[in-house]
Amino acid sequence: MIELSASQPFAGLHLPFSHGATRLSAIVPARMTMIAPFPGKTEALVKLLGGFPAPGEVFEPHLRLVWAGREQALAFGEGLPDGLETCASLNDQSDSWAGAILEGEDAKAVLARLVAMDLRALPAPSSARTMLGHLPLLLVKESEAEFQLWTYRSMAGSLKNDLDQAMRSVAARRAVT
Amino acid sequence: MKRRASGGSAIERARGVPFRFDGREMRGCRGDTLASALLANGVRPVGRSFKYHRPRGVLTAGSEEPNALVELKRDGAYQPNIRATLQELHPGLEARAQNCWPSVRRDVLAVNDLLAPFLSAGFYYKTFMWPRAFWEGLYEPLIRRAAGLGRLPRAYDASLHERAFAFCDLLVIGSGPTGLMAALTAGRAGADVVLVEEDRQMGGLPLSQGGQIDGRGADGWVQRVLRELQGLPNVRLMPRTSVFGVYDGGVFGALERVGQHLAEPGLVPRECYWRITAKRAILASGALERPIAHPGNDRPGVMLLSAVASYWQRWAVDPGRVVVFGNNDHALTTAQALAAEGMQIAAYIDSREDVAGEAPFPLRAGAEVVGTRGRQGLREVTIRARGRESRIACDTLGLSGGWNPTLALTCHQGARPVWDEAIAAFVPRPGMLPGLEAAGAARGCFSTAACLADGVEAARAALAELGLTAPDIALPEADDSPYTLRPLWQVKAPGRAWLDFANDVTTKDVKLAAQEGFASVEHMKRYTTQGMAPDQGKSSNMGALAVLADATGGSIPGTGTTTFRPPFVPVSIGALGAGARGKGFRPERRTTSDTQVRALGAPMIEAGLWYRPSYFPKPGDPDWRTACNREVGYVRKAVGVCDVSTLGKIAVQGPDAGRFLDFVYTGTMSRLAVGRVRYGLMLREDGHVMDDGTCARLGEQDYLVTTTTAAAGEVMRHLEFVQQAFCRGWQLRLCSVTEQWAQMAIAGPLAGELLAHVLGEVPDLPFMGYQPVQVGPVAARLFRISFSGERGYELAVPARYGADLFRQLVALAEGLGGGAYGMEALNVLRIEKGFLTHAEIDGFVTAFDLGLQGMMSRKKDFIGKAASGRPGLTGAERLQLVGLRPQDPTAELTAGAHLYPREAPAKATHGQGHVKSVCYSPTLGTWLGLALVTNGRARHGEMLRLDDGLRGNRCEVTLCDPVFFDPEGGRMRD
Repeated sequence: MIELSASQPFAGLHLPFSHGATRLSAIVPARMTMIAPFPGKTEALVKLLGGFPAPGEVFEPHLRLVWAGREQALAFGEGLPDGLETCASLNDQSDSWAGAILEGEDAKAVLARLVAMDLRALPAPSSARTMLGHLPLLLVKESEAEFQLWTYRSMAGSLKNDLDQAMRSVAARRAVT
Repeated sequence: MKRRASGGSAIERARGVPFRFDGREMRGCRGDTLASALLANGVRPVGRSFKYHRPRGVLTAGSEEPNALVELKRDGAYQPNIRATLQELHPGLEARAQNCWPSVRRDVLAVNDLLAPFLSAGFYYKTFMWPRAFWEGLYEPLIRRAAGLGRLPRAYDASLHERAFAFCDLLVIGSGPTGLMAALTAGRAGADVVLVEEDRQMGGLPLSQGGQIDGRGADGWVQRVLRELQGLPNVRLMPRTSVFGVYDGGVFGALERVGQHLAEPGLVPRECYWRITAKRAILASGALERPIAHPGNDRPGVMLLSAVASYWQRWAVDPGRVVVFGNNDHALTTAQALAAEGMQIAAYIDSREDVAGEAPFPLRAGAEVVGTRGRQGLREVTIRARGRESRIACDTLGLSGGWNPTLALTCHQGARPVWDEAIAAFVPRPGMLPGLEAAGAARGCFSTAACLADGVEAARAALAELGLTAPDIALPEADDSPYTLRPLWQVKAPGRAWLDFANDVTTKDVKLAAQEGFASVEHMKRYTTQGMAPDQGKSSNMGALAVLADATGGSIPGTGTTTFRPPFVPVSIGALGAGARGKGFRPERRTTSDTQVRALGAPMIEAGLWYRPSYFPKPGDPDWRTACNREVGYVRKAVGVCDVSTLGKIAVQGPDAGRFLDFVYTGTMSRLAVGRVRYGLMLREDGHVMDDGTCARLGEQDYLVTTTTAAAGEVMRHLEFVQQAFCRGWQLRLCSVTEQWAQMAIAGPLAGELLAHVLGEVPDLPFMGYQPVQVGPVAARLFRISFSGERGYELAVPARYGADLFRQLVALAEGLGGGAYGMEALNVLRIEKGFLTHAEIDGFVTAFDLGLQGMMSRKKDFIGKAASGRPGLTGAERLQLVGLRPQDPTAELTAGAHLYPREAPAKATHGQGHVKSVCYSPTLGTWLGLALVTNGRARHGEMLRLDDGLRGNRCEVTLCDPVFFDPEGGRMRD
């Protein structure tokens, strides 16, 4: 029998780092479960979970629930209530995603280089499924200066490269008169 | 021309800026544009014209410049067609005149000007007709070399570009009095405002023409408003930004010059391509002065009067002795104002008879300029008044033929402007574009007071539509003089009078077009090329269509305008493609074993977006095939390990999961026992094969579908569509778990032995079985499936353990005489077994073609079933999958080759099919191929000729069953 050691999605990619007024750091993965209620079972699910996020919503009845697509939400953390599987499809996604936090005064300016979304309109916290450049993105707005950016684990390198370039560019612009 | 001793609101005299033009060292000031610096240094010709190679000087002070296009050198690379009027000076700037050799002052091709009578519009259509073969080989290359603007750089463009997105409630385009008042009104109302300005400095015409606003100097008023706007958190000011296009849904394309003006930009991008989405927009782009077509109007020194004023006010350029030639009141008041400031106005010439006014210079009413002299620059002009000609010595001629509202953006979605007789110009109609309205001079309101009021009014209207309340705002007092003019499109006198300076189009060319039947404005444009240069005819369109109307006897509104299309200003391809260069073009997907396989020296190949190892070279390998053969040997004789995580994995869960899968697969999945795996085929709606893969039943209501690597997205989309469109309400959900699991194939006769090391024991798992297993404390999944024909397992662990699992599996395999195998070996193994990939499932094949018709259930309906039974999709006429073996086992087969009867010529009419996949099989010691051949299954044993015309490969092959190795499948089942 062998023993396996774990590695993180951003292993070898030298996070965290900062450029100018923006910092990018990796999120240490917690338990993430994709919950998708079966048709007609949302009410039963709400009873068990204490709620279910509408499009764009993030809320924490017990676990943090982040809307993550059509009729599905990501639950962050352990301790899903029993019986949930009778009303929803449940899939462990703890290893599927690479998540990073982009924070700082210029975070929105950095995202304006990569995300074709009106971030003004999003309340904090809230979530959106969109693209970061060519990458699929689950964006969670935590505040006006902090965003969680989740993409598929295999694309962690591209996520880092795209953000690195945009962060450098925004920082360099600050010096322009 | 030279620099004035004082003045110049845009420059800092104390900060000198050295630069070079055509190899000459010069000095400008911080704040100069290249054009202003050249003028201040006395440079007159700055380039040569397109066709006649005539010396050309600066005509304007803005982005509409047709003449002053230069080549800019930086870091050994160069940019062509840079408008000197927009390019800001920076230390070390190096520019070169274009379209001339050896120099702008002495240009060999100036001989073209002597040939002008033979080079009229469309001359090449008539002249170079014979002999026919000479056109492509001789004439066209010669003409291309002689004509054209700028040289295309051949080097890779290494400069940085950027793209960005912005969103706002109100976009204000232009920062003159109209734009400033609109932005101020909306800004105070709390709207999110973006104010864009093409110039480095915001303020518009008052910066150039001075005057009074709100009882103070216009410049002071501009600065006060800008300070307030800068202090508003909801207002973003974007100078150096040109809006170049209007698109659907309130999206505007804009180009920002970010680092183009910096000596050392470092990481600052040269330009940024903005996509601005605005709920409402106000076009406050002002108006462009138009020249007058008179003989000799293209000499260096002939400028628009507004440009003369701009260079004087903003950059303190003294134009020397100036003759002003106009047809409107604004021209006269400008001349008076400039004279009052000390400019030497040698004469004011107005084509109108009834012009009078106090002026410290000769005022010649009812006069016209009929000629100019000066080889490298203007020396004198010839005036004709009441039939008598006289000459006036001068350095500069300031032209003002009236003003055209800058309305191009309002027409970008196909609407046409209307003619306004009072200002002899086209103006936009209200409501031409949803969400965008023109205001101020852009809609023909020309006095400063009218512009200020119109800016406020436009903002009020936009705010009302946005549901915001407009604040009370006091209108500043300003000049409200009326603007009157009498149109003067051309001076009728002998000599060439230019309309389009950039493309060398004269009034004669337009008349010739009309004479030859190209009387529609769109035809005239194409015949003469008027308006087709980088400036898009900003200073010539109006004049050209007026001359055309005159030539055809029509009216100007009846003649109409040409079509305005984006981009309004030139946009570099680098900016449009920003972010998509190199790795930015496609993201990379890397497996968890990526670091290890690269460390083993594997060349990577791209599959979908994934990077996978091609093969694992070892020291001394003469070629890749040696490595490939070795890896095939691992699997056939010992054990091989391959990362197969890239295959798509889709969880299908819920009470109706089985029913759903029955509907999307050709086979029945609902009756699959828990812990069992089945090979499945999915068809498209049209009955052709979409993808193949395995389906495992993990639990009563829990299935796992696998897809090929490249089709994972397509299959997921298909399943989502089927669920939402046809199975609404069914109790199931889909979830991609591709990235959750790192999955390793372990294949070969010693696969079980290796697995015993990993799991502690060899699991009792039958072929096509599944069971959950533990790798230490890690919950894993084990599948007994094979894509190699050997005893095979696939072990899946959560992705975080993938890297370590691969490392340990490879080490264990090496201990057993095996090792890692790459895509090349995987391909050989599967061809030997006749297993399919998307090389065979090419989108045109049916299950029948692949010999898989037995997998199409007759007991149930499924997607694609009805369509697959259409006539023509089955039968002897179909291309069917067969195996190929060469007569000579060492004869190389090539994929893509076509197959013909042995004696028939290689012509499509004799085609029997084509080769889809090939490999050299070290196991069987021969080349093998998979091919699609007409009625192939019935022709096993027949010999055909393989003919690869592209690579020059020919050999004889025998058709056979596509399963070459272990056709009974005993090796993978045992």
